[in-house]
Amino acid sequence: MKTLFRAVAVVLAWTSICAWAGESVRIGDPWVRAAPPTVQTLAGYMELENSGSVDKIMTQVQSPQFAKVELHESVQNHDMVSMVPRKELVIAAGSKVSLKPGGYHLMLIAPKSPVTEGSKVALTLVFSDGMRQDVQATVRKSADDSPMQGHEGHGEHGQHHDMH
Amino acid sequence: MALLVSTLAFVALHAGYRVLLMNQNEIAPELLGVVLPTPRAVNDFTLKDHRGEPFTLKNMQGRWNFLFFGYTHCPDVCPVTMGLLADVFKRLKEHPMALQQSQGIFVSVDAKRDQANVLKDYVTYFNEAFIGVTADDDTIKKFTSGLGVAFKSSAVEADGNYLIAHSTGIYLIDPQGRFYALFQPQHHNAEKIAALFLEIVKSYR
Repeated sequence: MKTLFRAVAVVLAWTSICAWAGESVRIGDPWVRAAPPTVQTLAGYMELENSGSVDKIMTQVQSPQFAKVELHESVQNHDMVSMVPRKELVIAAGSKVSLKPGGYHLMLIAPKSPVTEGSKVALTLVFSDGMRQDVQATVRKSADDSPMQGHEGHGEHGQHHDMH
Repeated sequence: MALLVSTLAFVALHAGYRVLLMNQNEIAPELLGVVLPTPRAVNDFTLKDHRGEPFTLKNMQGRWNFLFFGYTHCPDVCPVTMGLLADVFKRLKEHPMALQQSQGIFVSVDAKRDQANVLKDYVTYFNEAFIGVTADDDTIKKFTSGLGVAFKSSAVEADGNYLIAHSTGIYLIDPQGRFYALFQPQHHNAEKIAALFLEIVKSYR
């Protein structure tokens, strides 16, 4: 009987893990800005949508193609802009956060081989609950090339406040 | 005779007044806040361009110069602004006269990492004719402070990386080598900058 209980408990735990794992963050239009081959830092952008009922916290991004990936935010202060490293990105339950030009972005540091326009960059998003999500980002020249969005609104340096 | 003199005096006065009015109205309303009330002379300087050649005030004279200050390790705002500048120049193709006398210049505030070959790759990626320039910190600081451009490096991280906060405006130097106009981030739209620039060229005297 005890064994049965244990088995049931294991099955229950396992199914709840599955349910939890299934509650992923939807990634929209992941892309990396193409740059000349000598450039040592590139920027990655995407939309993260959390349709679940639990907040998701992205704590790390990995890529086998770069030495390091960091989360940064471009902050405009009067006429000056600075990039501020951020430790995590909160995607609150039922909300959407955009990494986009002039705001939050992934800083892809030291490419191991040249990143060419039209190629893909493999990214793994790691969340605080242990969830890992693989993303293939397309390398392209600008946000304008996106089939989904019209115009980037060049240089508007929009800031979002949905991150905590 | 007296009548003639007074008539002439009146005409002269009137003409003078008209000239005065024109001067007052020199800055078209749409250029207010873009064109400086009085152009500011730029002190001579010696930077180095992306071919390793000296770049001085002389290289700017006789041209309209669009200057943007940044560094190639800046992956977000810098390429956005360089792309914008490239877009402005594309739009100027319809105005060959204006395009011919214009040059786009990227001033790197990070000479340590932005060597000539890096600068060359970087600027020509956006526009074949763009020029990349830089110099040691002291020289760059003298040059930027004359224009009111600011920049500040962060502490160097363990991996040797560092970030630089910098002004994001596009600075326009006139063919006499004077700081003439400033396109602030709120004007950073290629169509708008191209239109404002054509207006500036038209009203320039």
